[in-house]
Amino acid sequence: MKPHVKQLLLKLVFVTVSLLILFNLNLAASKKTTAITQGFPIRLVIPIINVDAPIQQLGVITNGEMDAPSNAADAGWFKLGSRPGEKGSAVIAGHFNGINDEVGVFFNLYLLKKGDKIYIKDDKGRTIAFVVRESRIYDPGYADSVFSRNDGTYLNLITCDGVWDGVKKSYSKRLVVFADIID
Amino acid sequence: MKILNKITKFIVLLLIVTMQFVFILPIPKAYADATSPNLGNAASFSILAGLSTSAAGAVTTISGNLGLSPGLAVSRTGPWTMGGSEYFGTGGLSQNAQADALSAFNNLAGQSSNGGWGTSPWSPVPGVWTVASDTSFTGTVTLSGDYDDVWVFQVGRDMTFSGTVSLTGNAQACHVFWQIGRDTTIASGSSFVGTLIASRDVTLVSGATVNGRIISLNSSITTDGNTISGPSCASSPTATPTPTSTSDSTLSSGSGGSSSTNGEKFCPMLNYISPTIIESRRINENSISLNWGPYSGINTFIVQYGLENGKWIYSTNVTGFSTTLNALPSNQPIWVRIGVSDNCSLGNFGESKLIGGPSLPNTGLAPHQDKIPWHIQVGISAGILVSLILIQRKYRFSSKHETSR
Repeated sequence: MKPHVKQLLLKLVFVTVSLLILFNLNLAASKKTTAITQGFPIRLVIPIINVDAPIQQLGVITNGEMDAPSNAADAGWFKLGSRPGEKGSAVIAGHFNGINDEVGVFFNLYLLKKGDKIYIKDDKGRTIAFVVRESRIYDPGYADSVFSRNDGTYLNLITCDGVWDGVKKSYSKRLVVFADIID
Repeated sequence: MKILNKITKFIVLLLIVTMQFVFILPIPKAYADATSPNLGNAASFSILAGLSTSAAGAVTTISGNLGLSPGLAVSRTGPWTMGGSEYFGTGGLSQNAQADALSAFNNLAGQSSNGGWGTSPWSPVPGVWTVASDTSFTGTVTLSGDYDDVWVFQVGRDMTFSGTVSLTGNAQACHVFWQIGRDTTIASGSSFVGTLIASRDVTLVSGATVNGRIISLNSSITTDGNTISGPSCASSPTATPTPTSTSDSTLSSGSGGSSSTNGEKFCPMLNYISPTIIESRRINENSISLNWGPYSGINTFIVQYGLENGKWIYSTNVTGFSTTLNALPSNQPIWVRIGVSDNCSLGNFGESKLIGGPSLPNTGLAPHQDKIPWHIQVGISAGILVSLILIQRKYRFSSKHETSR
């Protein structure tokens, strides 16, 4: 091989390698700086109690209560709070029973125990996994600890519990299942 | 020898002439020159505030841009007529403008003072004029000078201005600056000139006009039927005017009061631990209480809140580590963030948090006590049927038994 051809080939190799290194560096940098924003939750899956339900978006009704899903089969995410997977407490409510006494999406919520898995699918195609930490029974009313904790990434599920109060048209208690994100 | 002498004389003459240029022509001034700070992105704004700006009642007209940072669009209220555009929030032109305004503020605060403020009618020569404490000026300030002459007015605390700033000669509004350590009020009907940068609130009372810019680094600007234009900046002649020795060598004798700046007018960035909300509780449909910490050497804070995370519609200053937010939208949870504030500067805000969450939802429906499930109904029916058959059989058996007797 002639010397000038050899030199040209060497230069070509050098330029190619340099370009590849630069490309990889840029790729790595862009990966590092890509901010992950959580999507809107669209489906709730709790395999252990056979829940696989669509998620509605809910706000607050006039008496100050978090709204409830419009039917017994759907779950409802509190849209004024954090999104599942976002720092803070994402809250999802579901009915205990339906208008014709059918079983609600959270009829078996009381069966969840520490270590059970909960999955949220969002509108960006991602699945976010949570693990149950504990369950607690609350009286109806304000419960900032359910909505406001922001020292981690949490998912809290709410349904009714206790006995039916025909005067108040409400069950006497609320069951809240607290779950932590699985990193 | 004669030639050598001539050369020596020529060198000496040359030295003398050179010395004239070096030491004599630039006559040393008796005071430090005031200089225009670089306003950068802030230059295009007629109104630039931190949290909010409002036009109460009558329309306020501005010739340039209007900006808020970190304040958002919801915090700009009232009727406005604008010659420029609006910029809000963080990450945009208004945030860059605020950063540049802060640099300009610090530049102005750092310029050496030539003396204290005078009383009306006051005609300060170009320079840096300082008052360290709260001040209230009523009357006329006349600024007479040339195209490039600069006036800097430093105020350590609050300023109330009522009257007129008048430009004569070739003095220009774009070379007049006001650095205010705290709040500013420009009284009704006043005619004000220059770029005013205040650390806190600025209030333009009805009818006041400004040939310049109004900037609040950390707080709010309130207007009421005002006009903010310019600042006018006439094109300088191509040849730089030659300064006269009289205007360069003497100070106005009309100045009085404090003769030097002090530390009070500086508002450095605060470097305390960002507050964290520890606990919150809804008191009733319109009130929420909250507390925060930790204590890191300061107990004055600013609490900002709104219905959405990042949209801080409301703010309140708090001394201590707890407060109750009242008159809130009924039963709406709110997002809150808290920053350290020392009535002059603002530290970093802690993480925002949703507080005053709703009541737990009612997710149960009345069990149908009057409706018996079909399998129970079938069971009951079957039971009744069996009972009837048994009763009938027993009856027949009894009848037969009696007949056989």
